Amino acid sequence: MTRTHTFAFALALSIGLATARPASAQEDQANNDGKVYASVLHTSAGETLKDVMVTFADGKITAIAPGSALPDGYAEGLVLTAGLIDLSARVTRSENAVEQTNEVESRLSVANSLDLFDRTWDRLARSGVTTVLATPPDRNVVGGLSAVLKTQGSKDMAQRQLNARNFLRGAMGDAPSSGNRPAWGSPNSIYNRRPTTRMGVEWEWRRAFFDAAAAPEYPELEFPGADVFRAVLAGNITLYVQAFTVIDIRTAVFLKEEMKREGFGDIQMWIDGGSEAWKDAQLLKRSNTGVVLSPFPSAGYSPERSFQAWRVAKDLDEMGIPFTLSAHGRTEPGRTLADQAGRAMRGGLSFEKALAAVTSAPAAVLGLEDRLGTVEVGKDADFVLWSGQPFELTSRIIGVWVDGRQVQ
Amino acid sequence: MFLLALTVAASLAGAPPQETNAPTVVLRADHVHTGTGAVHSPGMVKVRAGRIVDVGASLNTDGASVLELKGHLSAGMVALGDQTLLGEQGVDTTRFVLGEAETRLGFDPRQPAMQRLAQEGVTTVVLTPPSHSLVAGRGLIAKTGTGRVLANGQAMHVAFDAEMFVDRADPMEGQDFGGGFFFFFGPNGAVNPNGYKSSYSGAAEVLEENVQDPNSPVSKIAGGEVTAWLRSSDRAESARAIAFAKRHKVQGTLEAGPRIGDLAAEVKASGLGVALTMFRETDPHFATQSALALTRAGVPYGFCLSAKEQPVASLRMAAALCRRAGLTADQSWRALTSGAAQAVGLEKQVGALRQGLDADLVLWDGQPGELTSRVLQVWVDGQKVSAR
Repeated sequence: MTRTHTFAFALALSIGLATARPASAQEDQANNDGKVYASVLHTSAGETLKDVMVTFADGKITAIAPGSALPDGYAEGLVLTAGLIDLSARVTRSENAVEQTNEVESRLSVANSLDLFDRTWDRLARSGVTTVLATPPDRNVVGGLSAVLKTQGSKDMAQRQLNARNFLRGAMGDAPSSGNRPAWGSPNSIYNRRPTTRMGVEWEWRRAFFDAAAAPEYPELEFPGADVFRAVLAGNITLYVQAFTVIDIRTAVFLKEEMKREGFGDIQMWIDGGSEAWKDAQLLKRSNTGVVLSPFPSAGYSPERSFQAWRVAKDLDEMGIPFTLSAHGRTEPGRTLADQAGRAMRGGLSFEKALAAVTSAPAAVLGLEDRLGTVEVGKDADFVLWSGQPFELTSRIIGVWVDGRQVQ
Repeated sequence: MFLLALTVAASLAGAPPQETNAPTVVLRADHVHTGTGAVHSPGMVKVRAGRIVDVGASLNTDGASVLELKGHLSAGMVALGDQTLLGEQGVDTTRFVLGEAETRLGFDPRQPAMQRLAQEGVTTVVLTPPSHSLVAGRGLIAKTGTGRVLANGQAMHVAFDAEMFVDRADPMEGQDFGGGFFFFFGPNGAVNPNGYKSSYSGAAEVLEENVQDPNSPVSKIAGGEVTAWLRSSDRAESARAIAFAKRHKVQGTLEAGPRIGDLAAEVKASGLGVALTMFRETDPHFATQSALALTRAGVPYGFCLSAKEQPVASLRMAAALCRRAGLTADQSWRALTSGAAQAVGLEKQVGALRQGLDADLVLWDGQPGELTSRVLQVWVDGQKVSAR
């Protein structure tokens, strides 16, 4: 056993012992009713309250009583925040989620490929993530429609999915073109998938948009799923494009601007990744494009050999560019979404902004700001209870609630 | 040609022989296990024209020939989900959706494996096409010993598991050889001319299209006009299959992996029966717990068997493992007989000794279905097909 392993084991053990039962919770698991006491509550709605009792019933917050006296047997020094939201949780890792018959698969929903029995959901929940945006793997140029769901709840997909904004997911860069290769494994014949270059990827994007836009006038250009692209052009579906390097970010934004110039429509676009957003932040600002930031690299480079400076979150914030943070579904200590918020703070972002970037900001991107992202009466009872100041290395998560049910 | 003739003859037969002046036979055994909770010691089973006329401790034997038997008489067992009896030629890879295919046209009812099943006390076997397609056409239910193919029970076979993706352009194997090796020696699966999908999402879309297209034979499973066999493996796939059945009011059987017990309530609500694939598991813990959960939920279920790859006795072994995990002898016996029959909608035909059911009988030298008991004689549709 290496020293790292020993340490991780000891850490896990101590957490396990300490979190057997958070001292500040009383609840009725059957009815997902209950109460949580916290010394400090960061509401994500601009308030920090001291000595708070948050009451919830049927999965919704019913009362927040600040200034409550510390009840008997309750620990002091606990901090409560809203549940964290990851817009790039990458929960779809199975090769069986990649549809290879077509590079542009706009109609397919990733919901049909998700495995709700996967242990990833429990790990995500325990790391404080209560809601995720699930996207198809980026092995297609356009992989299909995304799904929004809580990390805990019904195993019935229809019940688990939240009625959120719709996202069409695709990728720029080398993920969908990686070296004339099948989705997994090595290339084995000249029949392997196309495109094989960044140019080819971009060509697939533009052809799809141009054909979809022109099809009402030229029916021979119609293709399965063209209606989804027209909904994107009409602004009814958000375009969610993976792009890490500045050339890929530019390609995506130029596509959006080209569609507007041609009079096809004004695309609502979010970039997933955006490691090198700092190299051309003006472009994002000009085009009103948001960024779901890739996890901060511990050392070396972000995906696709991009370089992500630790101050990129702060830069985006100062430029007024909408952004959120993401852990790409990582849940091991030091790599969780909470850790990403801590790293953004080390890059200069304030605590309030870092908290917003993992709670209220992503809730707004999903169009679920009335339901998620803050601790307010009427919102979902999704909380994270911390042993100290959130996102600090010395703090740990000691309780997570999803829809009023505590994660075991 | 001979096989074809046999096949056609078998498939035309449809029902047990209905002779007007059929002789009546009464089988009297030391113990008669009805499978509906009663044991008559001694007991009698009256059989005419392939059907059970009466069962009881003492029956009127006027005009009947009486057969004295030493041992325990029970109904024959029902094996589900056999993918091996059809053979490799039963796999059609030309289309991803093959709703028109019929297993009975490629089935050889006289193959030795059918006789071996009969000798081990299995009298009914449910065949599913061993397919890599999304929809593989209609399966069949056959009697062992006689090879009679039942007119009903030809379920439409729909896959929800990853087996349907094996032909996609994504061969994991060959990585060690590098690109050149496979470039010259066969682009294994690299070409996909038959429109096979490679993802659950893609398959789900094709299935929805077919179910909603009145010209597709697959559309007949919506509403239950044709029963369906929904093949799944892990829980996510089973959950998708159950949701699909609920959405389109599909009736039939869910083939499911060893952890289906976690979805017992959902299966019960869907009205589907379950075919448990438990034998390939090295650790039977989850499968046996699932059997317990399905029993508690009141879901009819039976066990899958691959007759050409597994010993027939593994069916009994599955029941024994379930008993060790907590099922009663009666409950585990039902999984081998009436439960399995109900899971495929055959409860009014086979699976118990009851008036009106097919005369599929097994004589054991000990308790029926016990690992240590031997099968002495077997009757299918009233005909003796095996004797030791």
